[in-house]
Amino acid sequence: MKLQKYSVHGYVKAAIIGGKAERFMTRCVEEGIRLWRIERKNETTLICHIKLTDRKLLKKLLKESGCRIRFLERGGMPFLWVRLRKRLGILAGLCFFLFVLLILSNMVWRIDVQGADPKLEEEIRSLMKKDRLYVGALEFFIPETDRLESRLSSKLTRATWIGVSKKGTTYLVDVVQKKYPKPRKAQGPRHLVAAKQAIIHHWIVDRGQVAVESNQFVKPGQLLVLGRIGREDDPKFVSANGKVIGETWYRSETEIPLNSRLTIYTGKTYRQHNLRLWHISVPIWGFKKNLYKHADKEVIEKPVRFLIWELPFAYKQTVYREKEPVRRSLTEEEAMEEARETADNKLLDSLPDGAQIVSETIERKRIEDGKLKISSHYVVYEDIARPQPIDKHKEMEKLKKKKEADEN
Amino acid sequence: MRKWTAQLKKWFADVSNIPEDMVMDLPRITLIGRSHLSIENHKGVLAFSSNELRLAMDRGELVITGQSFVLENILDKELFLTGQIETVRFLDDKKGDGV
Repeated sequence: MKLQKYSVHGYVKAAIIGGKAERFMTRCVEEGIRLWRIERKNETTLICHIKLTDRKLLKKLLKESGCRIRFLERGGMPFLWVRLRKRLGILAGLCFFLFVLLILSNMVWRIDVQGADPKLEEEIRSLMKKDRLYVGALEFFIPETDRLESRLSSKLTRATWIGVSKKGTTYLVDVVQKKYPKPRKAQGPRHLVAAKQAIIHHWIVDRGQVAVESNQFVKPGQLLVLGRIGREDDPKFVSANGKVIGETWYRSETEIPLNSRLTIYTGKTYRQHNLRLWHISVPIWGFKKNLYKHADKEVIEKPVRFLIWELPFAYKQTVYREKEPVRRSLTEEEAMEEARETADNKLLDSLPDGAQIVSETIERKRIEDGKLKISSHYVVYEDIARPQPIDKHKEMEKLKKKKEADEN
Repeated sequence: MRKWTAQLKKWFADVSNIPEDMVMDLPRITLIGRSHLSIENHKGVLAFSSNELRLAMDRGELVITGQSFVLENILDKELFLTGQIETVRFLDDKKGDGV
């Protein structure tokens, strides 16, 4: 244990020959030179370990006590250092090797894309390359996986879900690709009935018997297209198919505040690069503080890895995005325009595809609590057909009864 | 004069219940088994060989004999000896008698 303690400072194992060795020992102790593991070898020789000290002082003490010294062994860091200096090339090589290993440990070695067809995969890879993620990229400059995920999924319309995960030096991208629905198979026999109250405008029917007329008023559930064709005594049931466009009416209320506050990003960003050593953060680049009055802060921390171990160092990047509070005030006309647009979009969102606003009238408008409130009335053309399956047996019975009634 | 201060120290040690070795600079010898010996408050090494260690004391000498002695550690007032210890003896200045 003691040896270890002094190996940092360096020590020598020496033979003290002749003279008054005990005197030398006592003097050493007085002068504060550490001695240990002293043994008597023979009448004239004493072997001891001496901590590395001032050469002159040691010489003086030796002269005083009339002893001679012979060094037997040199140990500890200073001697090791001297020996290593002779092999500087090896040392440099070792350091270089460790450095290269460190770099390689923090490099992306593989990117696996699963569940995407080759075209989509290529697209994903090129998008990721823009985010600095490619084979051979350094880990420190790659955004976090959830950020990558959201960026990818916002840009790729052909993927339903994208998951990015990291396993050591490998990135794994899981893709669930959108599958477009196959052409529908023939369905069982059905009628088409009205989904809502409307006035029939026109129709495009592939199959089935149209049971309504133009400009006819229909109630919800009313039969539009009959799924039965042929004569009544020998009917055939088909899957009625087609569109029945009806005129429908809606009323909506919309509010638009005349004055509003919002914050927008100015597009200016400022990056700070830090190196974290244990709990101490050392800035490397970007020393300015509080550059922006209003800013959002985002911190990306990437631990430095060495082979399989995570070192207590990390690369930390702080991004400040400047934002600016803005007050917006609208004139009544502008507010009207916006309110109408909002109302239209809201309505179209709630309607099936292909719906068309034919006319729009604003019934009332008023300004209340700094808000413009409008209520408007819409006339819309939309497909009102809703399929209703046919129960063959019931239908047959119904026909039979009808027939009987007719006969009677 | 020196005797007088020694007397005073002894009286102080008696009265205050503080161990004598602390007040009076007496040697404190700790023997652990037969193989380890530590001595505090010595006044210097007079002679050292593999079967004898002579230490200077306030008055007289301390002689330790045994076999294969190694001075593990030596500090200003303290030393630590290992080896097979056989005797520990005090020598007065005048006579060669001990304990």
